[in-house]
Amino acid sequence: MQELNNKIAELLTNNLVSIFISYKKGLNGKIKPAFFTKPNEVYENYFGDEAQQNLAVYVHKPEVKKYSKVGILANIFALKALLQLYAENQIKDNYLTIVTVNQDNKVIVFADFNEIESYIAQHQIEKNTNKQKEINELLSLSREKRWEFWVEQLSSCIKCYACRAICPMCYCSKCTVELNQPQWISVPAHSLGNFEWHIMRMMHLACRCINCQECSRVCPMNIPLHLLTTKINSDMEEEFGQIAGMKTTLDFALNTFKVDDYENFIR
Amino acid sequence: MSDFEPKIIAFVCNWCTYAGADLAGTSRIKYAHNIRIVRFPCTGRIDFMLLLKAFQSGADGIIVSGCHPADCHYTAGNYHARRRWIVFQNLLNFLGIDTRRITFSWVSAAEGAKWGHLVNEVVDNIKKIGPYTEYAKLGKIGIGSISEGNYARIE
Amino acid sequence: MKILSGKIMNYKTLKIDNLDLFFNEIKKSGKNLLVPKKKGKTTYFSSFININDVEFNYIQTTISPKSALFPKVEELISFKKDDGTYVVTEPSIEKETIVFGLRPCDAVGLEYLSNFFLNEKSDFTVRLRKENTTLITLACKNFDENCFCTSVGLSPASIKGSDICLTDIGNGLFYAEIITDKGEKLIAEHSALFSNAEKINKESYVAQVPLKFDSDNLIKNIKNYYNSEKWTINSLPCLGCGACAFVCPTCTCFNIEDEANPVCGTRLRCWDSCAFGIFTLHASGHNPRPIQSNRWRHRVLHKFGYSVTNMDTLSCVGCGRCIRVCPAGMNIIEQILDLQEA
Repeated sequence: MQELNNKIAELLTNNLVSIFISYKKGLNGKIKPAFFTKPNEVYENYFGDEAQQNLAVYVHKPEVKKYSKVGILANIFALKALLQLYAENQIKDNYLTIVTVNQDNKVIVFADFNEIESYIAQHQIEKNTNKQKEINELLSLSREKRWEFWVEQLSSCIKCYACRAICPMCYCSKCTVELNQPQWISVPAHSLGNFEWHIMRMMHLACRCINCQECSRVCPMNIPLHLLTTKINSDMEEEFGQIAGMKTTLDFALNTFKVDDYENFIR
Repeated sequence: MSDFEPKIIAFVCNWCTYAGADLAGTSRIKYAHNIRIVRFPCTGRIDFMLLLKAFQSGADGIIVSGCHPADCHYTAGNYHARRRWIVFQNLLNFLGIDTRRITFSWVSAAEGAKWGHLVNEVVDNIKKIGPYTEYAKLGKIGIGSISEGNYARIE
Repeated sequence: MKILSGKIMNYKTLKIDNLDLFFNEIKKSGKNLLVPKKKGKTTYFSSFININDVEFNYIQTTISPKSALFPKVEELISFKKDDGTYVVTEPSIEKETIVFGLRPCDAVGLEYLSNFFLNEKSDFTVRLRKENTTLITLACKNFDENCFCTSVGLSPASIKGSDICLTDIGNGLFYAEIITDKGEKLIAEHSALFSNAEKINKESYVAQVPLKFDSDNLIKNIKNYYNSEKWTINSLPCLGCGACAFVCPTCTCFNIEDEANPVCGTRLRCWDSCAFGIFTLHASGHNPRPIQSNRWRHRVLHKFGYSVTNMDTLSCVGCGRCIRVCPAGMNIIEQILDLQEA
């Protein structure tokens, strides 16, 4: 992908960015994030289908924040994550240079977040009907069966917090689950602690999750966290018509309300 | 099941439902004694995790109640809470947690009678459904080595 | 570092077709048998139910068998208020456990782990579990680019730490080396399934894992690497989750959590990881390892430096799990090669 490499090298040479976050091939052939600081390193750059990780997560990393200007190669999910982060006031103006490659293999450098907003609007990600099908299948089961399914899945959680670490929207410097005096979320990885942790994480991600499904990809225990994120996202869209990572302004369903939100479940 | 006396935890707001329950008392309205009331400043303060903590501590049913829409002492706490409940209920239902055991309601300071009815209704309902132990049991699953069910199914 | 070998007590063969019978006999005898199982992309150890659930096609299990000795959550003590007095109980350690299908590197890893818990002060839960656990190792026929056991002085043929070591020698046969009394006892209980065999050279039946780096050189120079700039550059992808530590067969760090109310409660020992930001956070607010590169350095230097000083052995067995599981593609081999290159 020569055009992209040239672009990155150009950004680095002209000091428009002091570090550029992209992908490269590791020693074992696995694609991993790369952090280029010099133009002569850019030949290592890799771009292709295997480059899955959502690089937006590195924007919060203290070591990355030390660089004055950061460039980042963003796929569509990373773009959504960056837009949501911008809406949540987590990205300073003029700090990031965001680069993407569109379907026609054209390199795009975004001038500002408004451009990203319109880019995302034009490049809607198709809804993954498979995931929706899995969810519907689960919902068609009896409650007891569903409970059994999730107890089995979540009991295997070892609480390595890879889901939290990989998540671009989990940027709290201190997570509730780490507080233990007094303890609010049960820290041990027994089933109760796992349920509390995943329910809390989902509630905190409701309408903020951009559904990149990285948490599901990285889980060492293969817990289908994407079912939870997809479910909570489709709920938010259905109930309140809001989707995360679409606007430069904060539009967070749980931060606001409508007087005529339905309440047929309230007596 | 006739001798089963359910434990019901009620999370109520200070300004409406708590005062409503008070009115029920001063009006000498009799209702089921299975209820333990926890008073909060506002329904907006009732964290979703509190409901789970109640189930963990052995509650068979939960009532969450506050001011009617447009009546909130803090203007909008109940509206925010209402949205949170919609999301939370859907999530719990998806995870297979028994949402029949959670009752949401609006009870104003003048509705002592409604409060009495509500509690009676909930207690009757939970008596019919039976005790809820599934969730409280979770704390025992996954402790010990793998042989003790680290990855095993619930018994 | 020489290839580790122990005294082998006996040699046997076992028909692979008889494995089902062997497993069922163990299960019937009331012992707990842990076998590799697959769930999506994950392979982990779980109780044997049926031979069809047992996974044989793996280079290395995703999750290490360390939970047989050191579970992710375990109860150390519990108390209950009874008639105004507190009754304290220690947990009862479960029945005899047999772990089948771990790799030779895992057996060494578990030996390191139990030495860590038992050497200075004997940890009673780990000691009881260790006494009750028999390890049946399966020598590797395959390897991938993340395996580096040969670089840390082991090999797919090493028998250190195992009680019984099985090698697939073709013709539907397992060649069994019985290494310890525990192994001997288990074989004796199921002697009908095993036939006597001569000692064979099993090198030709196991994988030949290429050398990735020179560990002698690494240990010798490890002090010079502390201030290397490579730590910062290489740890930039690291996100600070605990996946590497939790799948590692030799990571022993734990955290004590008390879950109690005035009526009853338990003290639990849970896995912890040096990659977490708050792992070294002091009560004062000071954090001696404030950034991720410090934590990554600590992990690597512990495996190849501190444990050599403290316990006279490497605490990395080259299983490659941390490399396979890392969400951000961190690679301990790359780091070591980079250090040695500089």
